[in-house]
Amino acid sequence: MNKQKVPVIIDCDPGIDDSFAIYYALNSPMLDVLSVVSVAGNVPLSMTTSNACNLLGLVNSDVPVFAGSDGPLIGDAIEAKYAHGVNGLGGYVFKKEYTNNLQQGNGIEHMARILKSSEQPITIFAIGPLTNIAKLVLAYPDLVGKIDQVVVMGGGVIKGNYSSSAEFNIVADPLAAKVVFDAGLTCKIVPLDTTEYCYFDKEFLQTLKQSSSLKAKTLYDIVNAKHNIESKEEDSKFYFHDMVTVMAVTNPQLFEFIPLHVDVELDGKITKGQTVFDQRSFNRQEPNSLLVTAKSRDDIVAVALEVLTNE
Amino acid sequence: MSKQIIPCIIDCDPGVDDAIALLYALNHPNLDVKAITTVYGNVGLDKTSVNAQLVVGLAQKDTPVFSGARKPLVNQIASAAKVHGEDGFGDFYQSYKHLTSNNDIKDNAVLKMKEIIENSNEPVVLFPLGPMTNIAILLVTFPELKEKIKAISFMGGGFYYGNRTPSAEFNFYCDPHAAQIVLQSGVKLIMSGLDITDQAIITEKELDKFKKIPNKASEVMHKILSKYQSVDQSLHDPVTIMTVTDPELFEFESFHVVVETSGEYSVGKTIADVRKNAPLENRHCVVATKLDHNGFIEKIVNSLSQYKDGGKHE
Repeated sequence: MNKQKVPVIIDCDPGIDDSFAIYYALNSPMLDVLSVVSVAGNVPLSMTTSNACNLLGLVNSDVPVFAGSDGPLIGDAIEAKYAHGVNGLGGYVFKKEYTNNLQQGNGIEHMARILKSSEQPITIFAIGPLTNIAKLVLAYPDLVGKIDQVVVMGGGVIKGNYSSSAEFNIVADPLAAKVVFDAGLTCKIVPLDTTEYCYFDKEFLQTLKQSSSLKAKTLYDIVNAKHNIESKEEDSKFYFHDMVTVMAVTNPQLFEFIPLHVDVELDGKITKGQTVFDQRSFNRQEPNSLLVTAKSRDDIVAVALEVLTNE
Repeated sequence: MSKQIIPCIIDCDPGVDDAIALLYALNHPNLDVKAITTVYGNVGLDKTSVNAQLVVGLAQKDTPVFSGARKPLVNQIASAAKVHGEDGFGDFYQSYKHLTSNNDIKDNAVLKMKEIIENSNEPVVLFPLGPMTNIAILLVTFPELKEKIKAISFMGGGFYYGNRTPSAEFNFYCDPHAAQIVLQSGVKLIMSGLDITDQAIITEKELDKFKKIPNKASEVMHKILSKYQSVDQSLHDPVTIMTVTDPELFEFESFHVVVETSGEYSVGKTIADVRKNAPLENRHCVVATKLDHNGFIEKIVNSLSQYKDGGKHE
């Protein structure tokens, strides 16, 4: 393992924006991607797993993929096909099915093995529902200390997307989110407010298309399968939440990290899955998270373009 | 009764009635208790763990004790020290701790359960006697083990009333999310709720029988139960063991059972579908409904009588 690089596990539910996150992480000289673990989220586990394998296989990556949880800790899985298409990648179909990256075994146990054997503490990108990470910290409390940070795409300060109050990854498994936030970890939370502030535009996508990078071209094709990019208004906005989340680690100077206490509404009829950040001026609870906000959208878009098109 | 020897794990929070259940299980000819795993509950985890170790010592067994969850999945911790004493052993832990097993308490109950289930030739029975946090973590993290779990026979819930609150039984109240995970797990479930365990009362006269049994285990049980009895007369946890070892003492009926995980007044409440027209295919939980009380007490007394002092007690 390269000592200069940050060792990371990507826990994800690809997912269009997950695809951006995965290719960004593979291309970033700052990150050493040790493994991808899938979780049911945007689409069912079988699809998030095969999407991850196809994304990696297409670009000849040897990063192993393990399947994780097929649904939330309690209750039934919800999906976000409205945002990600029937197969999670906007209907984009790979020319062949890549299965070489797929490993047999329990994804949570696999994460535990990585943590146990690593000398360096590990960064986990949690860019799907937090089910796998909750299981990891519950079943292996001794290994919590080997987790350098969990960087979560999830929640909103004032925004929701799945419902008017809740962001998808949190409402998909609110109990898991609460377990993770209260686990005593360094938990960086990149909320919808930040990922929507850092929107991308047609020009960005067209640049990906024209690039010589297979990764960039593929990302264009995936978004295009869902949105028919050329037919969109010039000022259309595209959100790649999960990639912005990865960038909070590779380019921390572009973000601010605000210590705050966050809680999750588990039960509310209208507010289930809402993240509640304690921003009171007095009687604030002890922070359990770092709320991530972006400083400059332009810089973030520029860096994203540079990294994604870097072959 | 089946002659087969059943490998099992007892997950508990001793706890006075847990102690009786452990003693009953540890010398039962049909049970092979592979491990005792502990959980916070009646008192904190450190106390329930040393209490389990003390009961193993009383039984003069080598059963290993592994400590598990220190708190519920997400809820605040509750305790039942008013019933079980501040030490969880009727305030007699200090008096008897010299009898404790020599085996150290090791950690990670969940991983130990996993290992036992994986390595067992026969499917394993789990007996959760406290909040079901450890069991829930096991089932969600390692769902592939479910097929090697013969049954989960648990003490928890109650159809018609609670004991911690008017609506909630203590174990369900402590971690309703964990209870719900277990109830929805698809594993075969045998429920001993308050409706059956409150039939397992022990009277002062019956307790006096313990006094006449000439061994240390019975002496200690008499002592701690005398105090417990002033608050709670029900021997809840042994019932849970006996639904498996002594099913002839019981009547059973199947119901669909869930638990309320929120609600100002109803958190931890058992919701059993007792409607006559409840669909048969949804009745996933085998519920003990009626107990032969005299038979129950007789079995407990007989079991305690089997213990012979000597060895570690000298």
